[in-house]
Amino acid sequence: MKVRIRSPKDFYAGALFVVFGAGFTWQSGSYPMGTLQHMGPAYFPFVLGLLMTALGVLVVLRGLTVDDPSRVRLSLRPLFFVVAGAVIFALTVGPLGLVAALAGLIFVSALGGPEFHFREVIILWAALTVLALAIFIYGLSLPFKVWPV
Amino acid sequence: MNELLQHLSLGFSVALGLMNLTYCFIGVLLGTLIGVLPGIGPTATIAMLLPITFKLPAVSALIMLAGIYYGAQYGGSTTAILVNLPGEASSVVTCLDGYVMAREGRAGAALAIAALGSFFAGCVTTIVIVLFAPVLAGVALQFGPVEYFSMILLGLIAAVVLAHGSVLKAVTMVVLGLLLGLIGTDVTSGITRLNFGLRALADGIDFVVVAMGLFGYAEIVNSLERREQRMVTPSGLAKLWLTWEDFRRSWPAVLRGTALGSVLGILPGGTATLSSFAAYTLEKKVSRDPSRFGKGAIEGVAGPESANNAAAQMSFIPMLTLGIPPNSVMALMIGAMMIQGIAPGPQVMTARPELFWGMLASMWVGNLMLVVLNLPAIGIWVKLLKVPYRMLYPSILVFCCIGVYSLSNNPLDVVLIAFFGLLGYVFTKLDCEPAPLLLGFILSPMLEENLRRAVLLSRGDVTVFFTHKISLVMLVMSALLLVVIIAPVVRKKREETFQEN
Repeated sequence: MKVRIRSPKDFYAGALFVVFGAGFTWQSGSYPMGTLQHMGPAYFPFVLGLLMTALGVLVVLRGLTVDDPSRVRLSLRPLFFVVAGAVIFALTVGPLGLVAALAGLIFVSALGGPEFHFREVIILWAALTVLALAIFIYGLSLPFKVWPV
Repeated sequence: MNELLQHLSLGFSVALGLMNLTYCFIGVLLGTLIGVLPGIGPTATIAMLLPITFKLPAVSALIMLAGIYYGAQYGGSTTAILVNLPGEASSVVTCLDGYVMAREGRAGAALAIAALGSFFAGCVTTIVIVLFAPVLAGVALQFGPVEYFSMILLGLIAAVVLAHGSVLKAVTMVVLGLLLGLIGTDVTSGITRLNFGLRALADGIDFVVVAMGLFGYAEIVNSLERREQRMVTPSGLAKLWLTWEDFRRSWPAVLRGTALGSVLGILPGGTATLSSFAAYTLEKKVSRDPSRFGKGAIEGVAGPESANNAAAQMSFIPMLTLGIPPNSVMALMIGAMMIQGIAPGPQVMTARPELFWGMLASMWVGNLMLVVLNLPAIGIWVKLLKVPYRMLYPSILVFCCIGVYSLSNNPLDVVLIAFFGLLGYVFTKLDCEPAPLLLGFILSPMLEENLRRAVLLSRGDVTVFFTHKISLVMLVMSALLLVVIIAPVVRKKREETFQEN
């Protein structure tokens, strides 16, 4: 019998589970295991990691045996820009401050939407910056750097 | 009885204080505001607004969060009725008859019964909670680590059973959540573990990060994928009241919905969504003329709307009395309590009576506010729907990022929400629900700690879990649940309940 992916959703989910399960099992190997009575830091995660790997294998097997033709389709464009927006915010908020970081976040994430109107995004950035400053800096007085200098 | 009245008066004196009344109102208002927006459910809403409550006193913070929760529920049904867009999963069935009613020019009646049904359910469940929570907390105080371990296990399994989709995948998601929850410092040995060599993970991952990523971020990408839907301008808002005929038809449905929602809500994993689906099915079954459903039957709005509010409120019972969250919203409430320095569990009721009873009283106050203040404001909420999604989602992202960054001024937390957003999106695409993961994540440290203590006290004897009576009962229940769900008959029925349309 030829092995073939019959249910992509199960197959890929299972594969992801196996990767996570194996990763955690491998990681817990580097800590003391202890005994059943005195469990070390590795005991519980090691058992869970093995359990997860085993469950993942079961899901993979189901992906190879149960028919479910629905495809997995990821929308990479919105995913990329929304994730990139957060990463840019994280990189800039420390050195450049909130106002600049918000500009990066809003402009980059707006590129992931169905339409992009430059003027609209400028207005959005201005409005959200004022709102964020009012709530978080003046309202909750959080210790954020606001301006680049 | 006398004691009960004392507790209640303490509760109301807390809830009716000017400050708490204000926070309750802000919570209800913000909850409705965000609940109205499609694509952001109550879990994401609470995760997003959580950082705002950090600076508040514990009681006010929890009252506000509870208010956000009811508000989000209520806002969800408003858009379901007016524009056929369920703001959140538990109001999907409300669309079926509610939107038809709106098109027939009876939107006012549908909105009114949704609000009144929810208010009635809220009043009944508040009384139930006041009566039963102390009893349950009293029992739970006797629990040792053995009982706690089995109870958490039962809770996790029940959450799996009542989630939709594949049971196998849901179990694996719980295990993944448990593992992610163990990242960081092991309390017993002080050793940093499972951080994959990253120093940023040495203190573990904040649950706000996980919740915002899995629910907020992932939902945004999902919504962007569906593109912008054209908004229909609703009509027939003029008359905001019920006819006598509407009233006659709907009150039994409200009673049935409240009863059903109360029973389902107290079960671990018994979400508001499940209750509203079940209530709709029930209304259709008991109706003399089932063909009216889907064509504007007011019972189809009254039943599910009462049921989801009853369930939403009943889910506070396990959270408040046992410290165990039955769903992801309660998991966030537990997290909020921990941030406020309160260890969740049965001792909260005696150690912090003002918190416990104040929160219960505020549930009633919050529900009243929804009816009195929100019903007339519907017109304003509807205008919000005209804001295009392309402007909405960057705003949500701004609040998520600043909120997470404010946790500890650590930019890596922001990168982590993006990572969990990515993970959540991929998992939903693979038909793996993220809610069981979040539950596992929150309960993981408790589960491990109680397991360790139980085997330490029994000198490594694992049979204690079967020799302690309460623990045995809970383990048998867990096993039964798993067997039952794998049985083909039940499986089919469960799929039908979730696919009702």
